Amino acid sequence: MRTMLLMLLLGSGCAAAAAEARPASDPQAPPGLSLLGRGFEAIQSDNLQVGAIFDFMCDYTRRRDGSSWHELSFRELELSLGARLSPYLRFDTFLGIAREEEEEEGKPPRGLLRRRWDLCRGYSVGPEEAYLTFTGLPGGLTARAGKMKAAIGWANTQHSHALPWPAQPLVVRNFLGEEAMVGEGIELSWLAPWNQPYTELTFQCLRCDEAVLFAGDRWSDRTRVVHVKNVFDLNPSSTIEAGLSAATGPDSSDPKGRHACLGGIDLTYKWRPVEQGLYRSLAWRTELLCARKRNEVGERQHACGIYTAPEYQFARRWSVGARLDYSQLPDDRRLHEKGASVYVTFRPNEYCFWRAGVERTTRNFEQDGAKGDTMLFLQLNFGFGAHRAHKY
Amino acid sequence: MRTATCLMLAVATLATTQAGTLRVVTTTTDLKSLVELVGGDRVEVTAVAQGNQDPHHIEAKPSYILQARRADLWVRAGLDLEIGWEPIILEGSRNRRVQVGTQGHLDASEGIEPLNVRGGLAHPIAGDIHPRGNPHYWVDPWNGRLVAKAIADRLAKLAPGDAEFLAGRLKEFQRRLDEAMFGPEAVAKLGGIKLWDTQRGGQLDALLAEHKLPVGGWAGKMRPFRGAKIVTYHRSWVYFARRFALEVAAELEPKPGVPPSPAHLRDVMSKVQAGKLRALLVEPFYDLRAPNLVAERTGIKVLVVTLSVGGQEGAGDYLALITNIVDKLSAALKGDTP
Repeated sequence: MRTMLLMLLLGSGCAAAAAEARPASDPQAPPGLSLLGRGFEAIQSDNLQVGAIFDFMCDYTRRRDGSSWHELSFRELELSLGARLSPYLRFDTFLGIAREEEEEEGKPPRGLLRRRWDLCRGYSVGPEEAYLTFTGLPGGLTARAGKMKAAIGWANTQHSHALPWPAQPLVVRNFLGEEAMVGEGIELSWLAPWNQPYTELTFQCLRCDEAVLFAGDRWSDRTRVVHVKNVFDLNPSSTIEAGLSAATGPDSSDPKGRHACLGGIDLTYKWRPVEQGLYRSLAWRTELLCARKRNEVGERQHACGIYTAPEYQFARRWSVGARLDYSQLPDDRRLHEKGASVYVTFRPNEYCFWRAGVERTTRNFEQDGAKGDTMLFLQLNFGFGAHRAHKY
Repeated sequence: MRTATCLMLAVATLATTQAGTLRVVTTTTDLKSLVELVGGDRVEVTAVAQGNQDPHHIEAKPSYILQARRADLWVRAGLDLEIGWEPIILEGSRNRRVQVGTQGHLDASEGIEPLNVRGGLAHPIAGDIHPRGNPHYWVDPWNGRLVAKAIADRLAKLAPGDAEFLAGRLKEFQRRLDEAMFGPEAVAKLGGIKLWDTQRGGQLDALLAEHKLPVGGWAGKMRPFRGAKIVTYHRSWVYFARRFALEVAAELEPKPGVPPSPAHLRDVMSKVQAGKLRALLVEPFYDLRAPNLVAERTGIKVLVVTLSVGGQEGAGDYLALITNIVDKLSAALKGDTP
């Protein structure tokens, strides 16, 4: 209940920015927001950008076996810090404060980039991403070093607040992890010299110890990822993006340390009319992932999953979307999940959004005693301070 | 053999011409037009935002990255107008020549006197404001003059061999602009700079009367409407209003970038009725439902007028853009159909 009240209070604060005009110094501005915002103002400078994004969700889930529950949760606070260290070197870090699942017994992971530190009530803080970007390389090259998301498809590379859904698609969750596949290592990306289409080739060499498919505690356990991004301008209003991804690394389930492989295709069509672009837009994303790995008894498994998700903006602050999911489980391709969801998003301003919807998942196997569930959700996301604009 | 030699010469000439051409990318079409007016055939210019597009909300499409990759000069309007998309384009371009702080990066706002400066950092409570100042400065022709000079200077630094050519083009542009603003007779007799200075000091009428010269150009057309109150959709007309002594009495957006709410529209309507306001300026990319509602209830004239070159027919270059605004607004304030 307290979380719900907090959501409403903070949500009304977001909406306040969209309501009647008041000077910025007006004492009637929501005090909490104003203080936080001013706090961020105080520590920012032209070079140092500090931002925070809060994510709350309230959901009601009903299982096919008749049981149901509801949850009101503060899902995550993402703190971002970015600064340009030299004309050709930039540092970015994203710290996540979130509730963690109970960890298995054993030693905590070593290394600053891999650890999480307990805060209170099950919440912990740790780096989601932290990397240096080298922008001054010749030949159309850019390099990154540190902890970063694996360049597989589109959804995996996004931070949760940038996703058009409250959670990753089933195929991403099953193949890459609940949040995303992240690893420490290096990345080299190259922009092809031709004029059309836009072609960017990315190569990563990462240690992904928490990934579903890939394992690795040692530096030698590297996962190699390749992604090719092609974007074609169809006309001034629309583009189509076609991406290919491939990854190979030590199989997480194979005791003999043989490699698992992953391949993927992502397609995105975007339309935003030039003149009425404030009020209308469409983005339709589809991603297919296929994996080859061994299960715990050493059998080779080939599994695939796909999602397709259109989102249509029908007014300046409103959009509707849907997503259809299908995913086999990478450890046993005979088991699969299907999902369907619809949602509506309201953005009072660029710093905040509300999203409400329903998501239905069915399985051909039992998970926690049920073969499916339906979830109604209400998500509130808002931020303060600077936040780097998202790539197209 | 002769044909082959001719062909080779032609190709060599073409190659020389292209090698001597500076590739310029501007963030808006207004800057593009100014670069073209000053740079002539020594520049090859493309713009990111189209004239009928809201420059605050541009998606950093990869094709813009490709434009920036080959650029010799990147010109931005500045004052954080492009803050949401310029960093992605410049960083993605991997082009060292045009990064912020280099000679290939020009912030056109550097020489102008910004209005609505709030200081500090952007704050959601205040709407989509620009703490360093209102970025829609190019609709004041004096600022267009300043920006053209900054562009010519920067082009001359990048291509010193063209400095004389650029200085000549700049002078010609300034003459055309001054004449469009004050009329050719006054410019010929008193010189453009003196007229601008006098106009800023509010003594233009006296000066022209002293020399028995007519008030021509845009200044002459807007002269009868000094002190007139207008309504605008977005806070984008403050520079134009200051130049021509108009008063922005109300804005349809309760805060910059925030769509009109019913309560705020009621407030605007009462201001329109109380002040008998006659013109409501709306850029072509805004929804006309709210302006039309205000017009229906109050009788104010909705004037769809572009703020950028290419945003409307008749606004093909920078000079035509200002002419288009002046013609439409003066006709509406007079009560004619523009």
